[in-house]
Amino acid sequence: MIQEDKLIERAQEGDQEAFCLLARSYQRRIYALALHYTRDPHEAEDLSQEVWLKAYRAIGGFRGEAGFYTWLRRITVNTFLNHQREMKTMYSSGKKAFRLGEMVSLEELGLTPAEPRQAHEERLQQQMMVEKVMEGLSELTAQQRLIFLLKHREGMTYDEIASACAVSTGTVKKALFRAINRLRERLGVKFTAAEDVSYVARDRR
Amino acid sequence: MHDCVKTRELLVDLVFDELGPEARRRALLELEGCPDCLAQYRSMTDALRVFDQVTETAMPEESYWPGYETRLRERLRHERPSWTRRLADRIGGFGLLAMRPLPVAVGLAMVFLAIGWWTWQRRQVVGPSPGAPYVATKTPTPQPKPESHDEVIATTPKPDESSARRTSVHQTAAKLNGKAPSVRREGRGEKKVEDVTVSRGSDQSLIAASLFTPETIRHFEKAQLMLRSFRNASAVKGLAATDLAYERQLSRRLLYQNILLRRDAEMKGNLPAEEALSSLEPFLLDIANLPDKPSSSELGGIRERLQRKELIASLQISSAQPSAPTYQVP
Repeated sequence: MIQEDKLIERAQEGDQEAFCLLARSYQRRIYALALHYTRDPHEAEDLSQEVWLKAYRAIGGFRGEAGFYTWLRRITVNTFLNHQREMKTMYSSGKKAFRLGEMVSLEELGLTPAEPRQAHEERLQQQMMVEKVMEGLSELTAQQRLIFLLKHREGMTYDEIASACAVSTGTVKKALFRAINRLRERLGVKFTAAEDVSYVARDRR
Repeated sequence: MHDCVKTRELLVDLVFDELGPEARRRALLELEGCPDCLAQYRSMTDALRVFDQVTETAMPEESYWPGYETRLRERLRHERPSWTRRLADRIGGFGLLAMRPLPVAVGLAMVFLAIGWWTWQRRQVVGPSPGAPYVATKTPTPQPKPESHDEVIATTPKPDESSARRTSVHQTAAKLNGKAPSVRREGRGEKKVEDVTVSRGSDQSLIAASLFTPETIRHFEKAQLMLRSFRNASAVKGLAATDLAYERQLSRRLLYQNILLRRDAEMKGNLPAEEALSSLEPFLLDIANLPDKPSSSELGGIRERLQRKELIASLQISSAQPSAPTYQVP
């Protein structure tokens, strides 16, 4: 296994192969962010690859002061924000429905007509949940969506997010509150009081 | 006392683990006492948990990634290397530029700025050559031809003929240096440089003023007065040594000034001024270096050269102030 530092050095010298190996380590993470941000698999691929192209252009300036992924995440956020501006220009309405039918076919799901009916139904059930999540995200603005992803998936602090997105900490908190509420409504999560008590007891431990 | 509004404000911080240990403990205690707040908190955390489970299934299958990588490689192949990389490749082994492009770029910019500033400063000091448009613009506008008996002392050009202007400038300088004026012809069959008569009293002073700086003109004036004084004093037979002390002292001061002005004219490329000052310098030097009791032959030699070169007359012309400043003073 080649060390990341070596790959970075080689990539800085213009070695595309080394850069691709670097990308392989993080491409799923970046893609997942892009997918939840755009809510479209094709757009997610374009956007995530745009991130890699930008990273490739800029890797000469990477000095290792922060971790490689921290540096890459900065590029990702900037690319997403630019994408957001472009989308605002292109479409008057930023809302986009995430449609299961458009997203995956049976073949893409790895299903065959001969597959047992139960497995088929389970998969469809999962896809419906995905659709609900994506719909919940689509009810957020692009900025709120990005803030939510940076917090929940990337674990960035309020201050880091505020700085990256050039907003106040209050805006970050509001966006997160709104995002969770949308997801909760879409997923229809409800609990009983008995479950709640045990939950708190577990948390306190 | 439990406050639902305040507690719910903390829920986001609690869910995303943005509270400190003590604040977190207090918030959980508050939740324990309020089923509604607790239900909301629980629904929030579980919504996130479901979100995580769901998003895992939204990710593409393993078979998707080789294609993704191929497409990325394809896009990278069409990507041109950055300018720093290309520059570093061309320079060869100049890794510093590729690694730290900003400091290197700033350094290069500062070097270019310094060179630019130095060049600009140099241009300011040196100025254009005598043949350049600078001289042409500084050459005085030819005056109307005088009606009566004016002496022809120089050739002045038509305003649109730069070569003729240069001829004029050099001929004027030659006159100021005590040389006989000459008419230059451009060659057989070529256009003849027009001679224009200018009056000694007005136009000549205009030409002189256009060629020399005010400081040089004042210097010529002082030199002329000193040389007159020297000529008159040296002509007296049986002159006491102290009688020339003032001229010697003044000549030393004028010599230093002359050297400075000559160098200045040389740097500015002002050939007429340089020539005039060069012709004056040997006299100033000779007078300044005269012994306490100079012999009559020494004085006579200097006086004779002064007369032969018509230096005092030339200085008088060159130090003459224009009567009407109708042109640019350099």
